[in-house]
Amino acid sequence: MKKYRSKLGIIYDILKIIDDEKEIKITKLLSKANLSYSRLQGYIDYLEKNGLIKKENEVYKITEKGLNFLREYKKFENFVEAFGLEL
Amino acid sequence: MIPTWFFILSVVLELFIGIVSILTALVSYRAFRFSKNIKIFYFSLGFMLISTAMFLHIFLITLNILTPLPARISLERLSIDRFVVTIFYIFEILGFVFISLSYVFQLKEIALLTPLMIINPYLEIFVIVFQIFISIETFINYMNRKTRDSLFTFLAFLFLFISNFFFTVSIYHEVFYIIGQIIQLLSFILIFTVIYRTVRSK
Repeated sequence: MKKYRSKLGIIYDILKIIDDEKEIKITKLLSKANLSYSRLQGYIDYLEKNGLIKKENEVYKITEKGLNFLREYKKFENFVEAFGLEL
Repeated sequence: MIPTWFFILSVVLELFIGIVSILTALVSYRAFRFSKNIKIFYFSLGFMLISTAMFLHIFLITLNILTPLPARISLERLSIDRFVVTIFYIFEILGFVFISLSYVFQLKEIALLTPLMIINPYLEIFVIVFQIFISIETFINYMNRKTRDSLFTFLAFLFLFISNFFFTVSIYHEVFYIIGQIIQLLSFILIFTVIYRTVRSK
């Protein structure tokens, strides 16, 4: 069964891809994020607006705030998963 | 029934349980603030209600320790005791209702089990039914994930259920109350371990 991704889960996935790649172009991000272009663009705008990623010379990089989000997400995910819940 | 000599130790054990419940409520509330997921809010609220129930129980036991025996069995005191115990059960049952709700919201098929929760009129048995439900949920979670934390959580709720069983039968012998308290303590040590392991993890 295909696992449903929440909005928060998608944000985590996008940030994780950017963090793993260190810097990434939107075309590569599109192929890895498993989202349509318009949806991905919407998330990118949201992440940029909230200071979680930044765009430099056509590539996206994760910010300190974005890294902090990843840490917090993982911590809370581990906590709720231990109780059989999902974020 | 609680043996008199066990009063002070009981306060210490329940204080620990109350603190672990508050910790669980606070960490899950932070998780709710982070995710805005309502089922995590119910989970947090459930533990907050359980910790409030625990502190009410501690208040009642402390009142009994401090009151000399003749005054302890006066009609006025007994009515206070009855009132506090009723509030304690209301908070405890509501606590488990909210924790159960967080699972019901997550797994719609398990919601079929909810009618079972309103069958028995006896308060302690009410709590036990909720604990069985939560134990089943956490067991399913453990079977899916097979992680140490999910095992600890399942065991914690299983122990909580067993401890409440002992509290129910403590009307027959005091020793069952002590056994119940020890098992309940083990349960909250496991929950505390899960919180420590997950919150401290980098």
